[in-house]
Formats: sequence, C-alpha cells, structure tokens
Amino acid sequence: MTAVLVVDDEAGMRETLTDILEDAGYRVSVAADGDTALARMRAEDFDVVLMDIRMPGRDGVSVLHEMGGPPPKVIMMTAYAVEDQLRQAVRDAYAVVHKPFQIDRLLDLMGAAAGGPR
Amino acid sequence: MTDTAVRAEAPPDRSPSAPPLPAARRLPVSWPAALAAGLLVVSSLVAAAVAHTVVRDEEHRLLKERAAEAGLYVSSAFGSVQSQLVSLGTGSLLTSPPQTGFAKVAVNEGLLQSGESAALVSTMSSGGFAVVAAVGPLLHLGEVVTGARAVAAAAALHQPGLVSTTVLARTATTASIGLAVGPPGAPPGQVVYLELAIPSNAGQGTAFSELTAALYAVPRAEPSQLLLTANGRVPSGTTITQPVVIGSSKWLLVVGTRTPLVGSLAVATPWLLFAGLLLSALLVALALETVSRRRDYAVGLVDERTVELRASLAELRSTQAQLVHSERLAAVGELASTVGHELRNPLGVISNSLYLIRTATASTADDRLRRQLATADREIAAATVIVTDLLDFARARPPIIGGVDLAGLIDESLEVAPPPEGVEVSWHRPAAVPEVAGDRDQLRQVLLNLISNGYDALGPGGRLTITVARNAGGAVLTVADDGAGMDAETITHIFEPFFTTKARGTGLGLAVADRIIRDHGGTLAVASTVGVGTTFTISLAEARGEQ
Repeated sequence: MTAVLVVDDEAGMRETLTDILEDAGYRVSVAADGDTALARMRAEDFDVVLMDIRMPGRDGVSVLHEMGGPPPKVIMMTAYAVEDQLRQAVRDAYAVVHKPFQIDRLLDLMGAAAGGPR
Repeated sequence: MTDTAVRAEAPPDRSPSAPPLPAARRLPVSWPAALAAGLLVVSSLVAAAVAHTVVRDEEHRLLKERAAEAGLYVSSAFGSVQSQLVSLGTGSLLTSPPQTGFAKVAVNEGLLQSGESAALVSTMSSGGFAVVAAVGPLLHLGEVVTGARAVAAAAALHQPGLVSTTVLARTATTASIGLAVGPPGAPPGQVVYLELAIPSNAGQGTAFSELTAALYAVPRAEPSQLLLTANGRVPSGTTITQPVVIGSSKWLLVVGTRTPLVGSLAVATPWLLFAGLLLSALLVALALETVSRRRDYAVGLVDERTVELRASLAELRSTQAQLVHSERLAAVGELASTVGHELRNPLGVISNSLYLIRTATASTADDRLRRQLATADREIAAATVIVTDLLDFARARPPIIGGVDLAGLIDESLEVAPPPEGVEVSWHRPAAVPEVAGDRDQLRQVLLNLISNGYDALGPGGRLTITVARNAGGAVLTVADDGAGMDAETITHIFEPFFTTKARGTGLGLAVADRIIRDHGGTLAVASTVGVGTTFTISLAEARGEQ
C-alpha cells in the first residue's frame, strides 16, 4: 500500500484528508507539526508526504530541508506563504497546491507522484 | 449605441507640475529709471537756461558799467584838450601881437605835441574864418578856413566848451579831427582851433584791455566817422552804446568785450551745470535701473521659490498621505495575510468535507442535493477568489515564473468556478498552444477573476466565450461575455482598486489581474460595446525551454 504522511496543524484538514486518501486507497499517517513529521519520517518510509508550509514551530519548508533518508515525493500545501517560502517550496517540492484545493486534482497529482495507490 | 475600446493602462501620471511663472516684464529700462532720468534732464535744461540768463544779465551789467567808465575816460581825456586850447587862447591875449603870443605860448608852454597843429582863426568881415596865427604843419597864416573846420569854428563862437569837427582825413593808422574853443577861452571873435591825428588803434595796455571799443565823432555808429578802435577791432556781439560828451559835441562809444567780464568760469557755468545734471541723470537712471532689476530679480526669485515651496509642501503632504496610506496598507496587508491564512484553511476543510459528502451520497443524492453541493462549491470558490484578491492586492509578490499550460488552466478554472444556472460557457481546447511563461497560481487567479466577472455580467441565456490561440510571441487568451457592456466612463475606472459596479465584490479583481499581467510583462486589454458585450484580452510571452 502506498504510504502517505499528512502533515498539518489543522485537525480538520488532517481528518478530512485522512478520510479522502484512505477512501482513495492510501495508507495514511498524520503529524500535527514539523518536528513530529521529521520523527515519523525517520521511523518510517513514506512514498508521498502531503505537508502544510506554514505551521507553528518548524515549518514545512524547514522539514523539507531537514529530511534525510530515501526522499519521498513531497507535495506542499499552503493557505498563505510569504514569497521566500513559496519560492523554496516551488523549487524543492514535487508540487505546491493552494488551499482550498480540488481533491480530484490532488489525487491526480498523488497518483503521478507515487505511481498510484498500491 | 456607444462603441468604445480602451486599452487597459495605468492612469496617466499626473505629477504635480509647478504653475507657470508670469511672463517676465522686460522693458529696455524700468519706468522709474526712465522717469527720473527724464525729470533730471528737464531740470538740467531749466537750470542751464536760468544760469545762462543770470550770467548774461551780469555780463550786460558789468559791460554797461565798464562802458560808462570808458565814456568818462574819453570825456576827461578831451577835457585836458579843452584846457590846452583855453591856455593857448589866454596866452595869446596876454601877448602882443596876439599872433606872436599864440605861437610863443604854444611852443614855450609845450602845449602842442608833435603832429598837432593849432591855429587862431578869426571871423572875416565877409563871413567865414581866416587863420590869424598858426603853429604846426597843417594850418597856414592867412588861410581861409572852410568845410568842417569852418562849421566847427562857427559853432565854437556861439557854444561854450569844446566843439569837434567830423573826421577830416584818414590814413591807414590815423584819423584827423579838429577841435575848437570859442570865447571866453579865446579872444573875442576868434576861435582857438586844434587839429590832431589820432592813432586809429588805441587803448593797448590800458585799464580797458578786456574791452573792444569804437569811438565815433558823431552820436551815431557811422563808419566814416570812426575815430578809433580800442584793442584792434570794432566790437561785435553784445555791445553797449555809450554817448560821450566832448564839450558841446556828442560822440558815440560802442563797447564790447574781448573776454567775458564775468569770467570764463561763469560763462561755462550753465554748460557745466547742464553737463553735471545730465551726468547725474544718467547715474540716477543707472542706479534706479540697477535697483529695479535687482528688485525684479529678487521678486522673481521669491516667486520662483514660493512656487517651489508650494510644490514641496504639496509633495510633502502627498508623501505624508502616501506614508499614511502605505502604513495602512501594510497594516491591511498584515491583517490580510493572517485572515487569508485563517480563512483559506477552513475553506479548504469545508471543501474537503463537501467532497466527502458528495462521495458518500453519490449513489443516493437527488438533484436538489447535488445542486446544493454545487452551490456550496461555487460559493467556496467565490470566497477563495475574494480572499486571494485581497492577499494579492495587499501583499503583492513578483510572479514565480514557470511554464504554464493555459488550456489546462482554463479547464481547472472552469472546474473551480462552474457557470451559474442559465449561463453557457463556450470553450474549445485548441490543438497546439505553447506554454507561456507565468506564475500558475497568479494566472489562475486572473482567469478566475475574469471568468467570475463574466458570470456576473451575464443573466440567464448569456454566453461566456473563452479562447486561447498562438500569436507571434506566445499566446493570446480572451474572455468575452455577451452582456450589457460598459460605457467609456466606466471602462476608464475598471482597473482602479475598489472600483465596482456590482452589488457584491471587493472591486479588487481587475486591479489585481491588471497588476499580475503587467508583472508578467504581458498586456491586459478590454473592449466593450454597450448592448453587445465585453471582451478581455490577455497576451503573454511564450515560455523558454529552461523553465
């Protein structure tokens, strides 16, 4: 099964995405902040990481740069990001999607990134 | 029907320009200087004229005085001749015979000078006169006296004092004249007569050296009777005629001057006065002109500085206003970014929830539920557009350029913002359109704005037509509605922030769209015809390979 890590400080976002992605056939893990996300990634390999840019504490871009190990495909999500963060996300992440996003497009993007749910 | 087509461009730069300075008044000289100079020139003329009159009157008065003195001098000179003749007459009476006595007295007493001839003439029984005693070369004993000599002798018999003849003879250097004295200075019936040659030029080195004078032996200025001239010439110019009494005869002295009696300085005074005042007029005019020009310059400078000052003040106010504005904008931007973040997250969650609801009810939902779900989606999209416009306006960022597939973007935008009921969208994906260089999210925002504007302009039955085509440098995208269109006045304002004709909306959509397209180096143009519709046209450059 394709492993997906959803990183967002908004519980509502984590919950709805978990439901949507599980419905779509992914194995979903969640993290509420950047440090937790890093810990989860060190403990487990993920195929795709769906991560918010702006979070309290360690932000998404910082997590993106701190990640080690076999690189998963990272899709960054943002409600609003300052230009510098956005520029780095566009440069370093697999894709950037703006909230609110179209689920169909997100699923297309994830399929393309991970080769679809396995 | 009004046909209008206006290019969307920034409003003309209305930089505050200083009001023009009043055209400089430039006469050759300023009027105070000209007036002062004119007054001084007139004054100098008047002063010179007055001075001239005073000097002339003084000269005339002095000349008159000198003429009277000269007349007295001449009279007294001939007074001695009278006493000389009387001495001769009395001398001859005291001796016997009288003729001998006459000669003796004349010689012994030295009464005659060389060149003078004297005679004692006596009346003859036949009338007329004969010489009864003579000394000197001119008169001879027994000679009958005729002509002017006889006239003078006859007059001397009856008149007291000296009687003169007219001029008797003239040489180059002398004029001869006769003088006679009758009784009681002479024996009864006899006349002492003296004839002398007077040098026709006289007076050199006398007290009258400054004068010119002419002495006539008659009371008129008759050239034939000119006896002598003093200092070489007959006076001309301003002269004084002074009667001279020689015994019973009246002569005339005409007196003029060789040099001004008042002095050359006095004569020059009017001219000096005139020249001096003229010079001062010039200087005063120059000074006034200088002052006037300096004043004009200073006033001009003050005006100029005032204008500059006003401009600076206006600029300062404008800057201050801008500062306040940008501070507000910064605050609004800060707020907008927070609100944007805080709103888009819940919008995202709601959108996700709607997706889950739609999935969960896919098999059971009726049309009504589907319609409501679509409405909810559309409203979320509308809210998202508003929040994004606000963010883009308050926190403008340069585009992050990548290759953008415009056709795909149109598809996506139409999915996000599906048409409301009754509105038809005409969109045919073209075969080959190059990717353009752009910021996908920003261009998406532009499209969403143009599409939702189009929806708002259309009622039921309206049609929104979207095209995209290759052009020379990239691609051209049009969004056209067949709605009411706009008049020219409205078109000039549609790109201004906060301008809106709609009941709903921030009025930021087209301002943001315009700014984004300009940041991309592209163009956003609008053409609208009232009653026909409005078309927005975007031109964007083709993406380069490396992007």
